[in-house]
Amino acid sequence: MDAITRAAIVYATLLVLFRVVGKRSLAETTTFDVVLLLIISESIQQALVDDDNSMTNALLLVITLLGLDVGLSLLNGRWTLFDKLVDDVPLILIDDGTVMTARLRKARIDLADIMQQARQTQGLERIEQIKYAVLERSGGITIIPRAPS
Amino acid sequence: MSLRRIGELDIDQDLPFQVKAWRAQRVAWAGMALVIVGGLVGAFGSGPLAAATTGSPPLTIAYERIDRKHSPTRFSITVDGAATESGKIELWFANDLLDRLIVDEILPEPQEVRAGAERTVFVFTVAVPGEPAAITFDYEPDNIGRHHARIGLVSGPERAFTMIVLP
Repeated sequence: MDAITRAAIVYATLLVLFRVVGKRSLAETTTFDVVLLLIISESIQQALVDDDNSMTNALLLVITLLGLDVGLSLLNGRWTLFDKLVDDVPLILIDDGTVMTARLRKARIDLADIMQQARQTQGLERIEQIKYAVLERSGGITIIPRAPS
Repeated sequence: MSLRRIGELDIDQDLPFQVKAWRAQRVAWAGMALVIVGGLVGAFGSGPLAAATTGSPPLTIAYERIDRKHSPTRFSITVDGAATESGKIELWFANDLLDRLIVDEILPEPQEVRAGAERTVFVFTVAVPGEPAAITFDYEPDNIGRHHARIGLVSGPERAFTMIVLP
């Protein structure tokens, strides 16, 4: 019971914390973010395993974590509100060429982040070439370029 | 989720939900800041709020009133000179306290340990009879929850205090 309780508490806590910290923290792939995620996983690992290094404990933890993930995805499919709470909703940051400045500020994204994505994915050079920029549920930014005139 | 047409995009954007989510996020950030401040001052163990002392001569005990499971910690016990005149200190711990601890080290090492039904007595030799003596018990809490601890001298007073062990 102890292993399952620990796994459930850690799963729920991480879910809430990463939801609260903001989706960009998961989508960004700077070296520091990778290191930070590694440190977080190391910090959590000892709390999950405690003193029990048995294979039984390890398997119980893994099965509990995966089971909770499956359960969550089933709940997400059944209840729209639950899905929104857990996975968030997409947000238009540039709407038909108009930069939604207030949304950028609230989402803690700047135009440089959008342009980086535009260059990387679409090879765009200027803001004016972007028709839509959408902050997706995953934290990534999707760029839809204007049709060339 | 339901898709809506916004401009030329079919998207499940939900601005009212998004605004509420941002508000909740800011509140959660404030909560995280409180947790960090609480951690710094010892609200979760290991800090000024957690450190406590109980008793008075001849028996004084410094301990952590808030502790964490399997986190190394210590009882620092001071026995006054009046209780060391015999050259020996007989210090007892309630067994229900010892059952909840993993004792790592006792300094100085006891000369003798006597097991009883409700108490375990540790006997220490004193370097200079009549002078105060310090004993440390390094341990790790093994059970979470609220614990009532009792420690005392066979010849003298008992000290009772409460500790909270966090998971």
